[in-house]
Amino acid sequence: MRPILSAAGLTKIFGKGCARCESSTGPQFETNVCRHCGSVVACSQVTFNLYAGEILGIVGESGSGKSTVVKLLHFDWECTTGVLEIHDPTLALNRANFFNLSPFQKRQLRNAYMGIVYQNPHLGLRMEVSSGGNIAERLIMADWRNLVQMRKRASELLVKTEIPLERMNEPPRYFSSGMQQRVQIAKALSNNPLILYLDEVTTGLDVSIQARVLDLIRNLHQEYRLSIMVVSHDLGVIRLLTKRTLVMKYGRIVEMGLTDQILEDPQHPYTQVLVSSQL
Amino acid sequence: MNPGYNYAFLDEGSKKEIRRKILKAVAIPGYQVPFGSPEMPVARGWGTGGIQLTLSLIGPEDTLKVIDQGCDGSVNAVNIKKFIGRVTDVRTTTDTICATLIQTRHRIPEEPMTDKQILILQVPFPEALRTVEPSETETRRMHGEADYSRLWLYLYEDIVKFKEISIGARYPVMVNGRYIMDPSPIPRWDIPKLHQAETLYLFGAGREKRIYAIPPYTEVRPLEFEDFKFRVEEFHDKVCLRCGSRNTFLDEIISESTGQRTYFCSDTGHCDKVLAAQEGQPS
Repeated sequence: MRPILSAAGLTKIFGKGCARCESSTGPQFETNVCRHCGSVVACSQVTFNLYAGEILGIVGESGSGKSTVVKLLHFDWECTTGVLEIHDPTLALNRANFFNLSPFQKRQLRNAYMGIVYQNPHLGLRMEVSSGGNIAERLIMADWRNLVQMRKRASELLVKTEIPLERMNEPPRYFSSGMQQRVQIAKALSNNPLILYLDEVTTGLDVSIQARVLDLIRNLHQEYRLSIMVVSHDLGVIRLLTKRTLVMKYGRIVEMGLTDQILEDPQHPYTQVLVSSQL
Repeated sequence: MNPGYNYAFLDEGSKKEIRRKILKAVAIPGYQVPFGSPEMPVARGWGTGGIQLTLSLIGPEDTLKVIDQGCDGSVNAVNIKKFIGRVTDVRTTTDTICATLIQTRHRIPEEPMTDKQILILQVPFPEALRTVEPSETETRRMHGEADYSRLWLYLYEDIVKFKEISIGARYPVMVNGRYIMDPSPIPRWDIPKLHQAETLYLFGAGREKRIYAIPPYTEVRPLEFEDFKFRVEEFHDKVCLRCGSRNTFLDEIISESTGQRTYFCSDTGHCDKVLAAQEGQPS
């Protein structure tokens, strides 16, 4: 299988950083705060591939760096070091490292090839703008200038994500959390992205709504054959959605493999604790 | 001319700086060029940007016209005209065709202008993106990356809410296919006059310290969707009560006592000319 995205040596340090930051943090030290300079090593030397049509999970406790990885890959944050390659024949840009693109090129790439759904809908949606408008914004970014076509595309996506069409002109601030998440998913899908990042999409939702959102993601994956990265601390979500999983702790990948294997036969002591405490 | 002042009030250094900035603005149509904006004997917000541009460009051979919302006789226009007259001794006129420099607020004259003329617009808010973004750092990034989706979204939302784009004045335009520009609070009626115009348009914002320009024969397009086009104001069957014009931008006057609505040409110079022509007098 061909990887669609390759990340190598992904490192993000918050703070001024020093030469000993990476060597003095990590699971073996039980911290990701550098004792020499006080910087936080949010993730260090994270390397993995995402394959076409695959759903890859990242699991770990709060502060383990899983959301950081997604935000670096979505160009929300600048990474300290690391290499990102995106392999797709339709991609006009041909770079050895996509982290070296200009802010303008990164934005173009993000608009054309990526979608993201954040845990907090306030990060992904404009709460004062209608839900149809939220979807239209992504289309406008992709140079759509026909109102009827934009409204048509927005309605299609809202129907797919089970938002009643009569609420298309309402701002998402009047919606329930589950509906806001579904509008976010619709917005993320609007430009037919190559890669979809889901950052704790079901956290904070009640169990029945959670199940609907997860079903929706599975259906959309089957329909569009998207490559998806799912970040969650909920092993149930990871088990339901993903085929392969990375386990992170203190900014490092401590275990990587098939999801069933990791959940049934965890090798790393941290994964064993995680699995035994949650399942 | 008052001998106590330098010609055109500003010192030569300031005039030179402003002219340099004008050249840069002309070279990059629609781009907001920062400038020093020295103190003027007029409070900021009362046309100091336009006055500075006028004073830096004016010469003894020029003929000046100053209008405020199309009117030659408003307090602001008369005062500016008097001030510039006092420090330059240039001729002034109310006839658009005779003027070489026209300083204006909120209107572009009705009569077509030529490449021998310069129109200087006073600008209160030069940033077209301010409606959607309060941060200056962010608007500069948006201009730098031509990231105008939020302004388009603003238009989209307007249409969804009101079935119409509700922007009356300051309708954003795309200049030369690159920068979105605030054309100053001119009515939508005047927007088409910016496109491929023979005249050089200069925009000065004294309080905000910005100069920008539309050079002659530049493409200036109002933002519009493929299936929802930009439209100018419609006056239907309304006519100017003085000159009877049907093809000019009209001001609506409501009588306080009777509540009756009457309409007059906003461009008083043009209205006078039409009236004089009807009465057989030379304008």
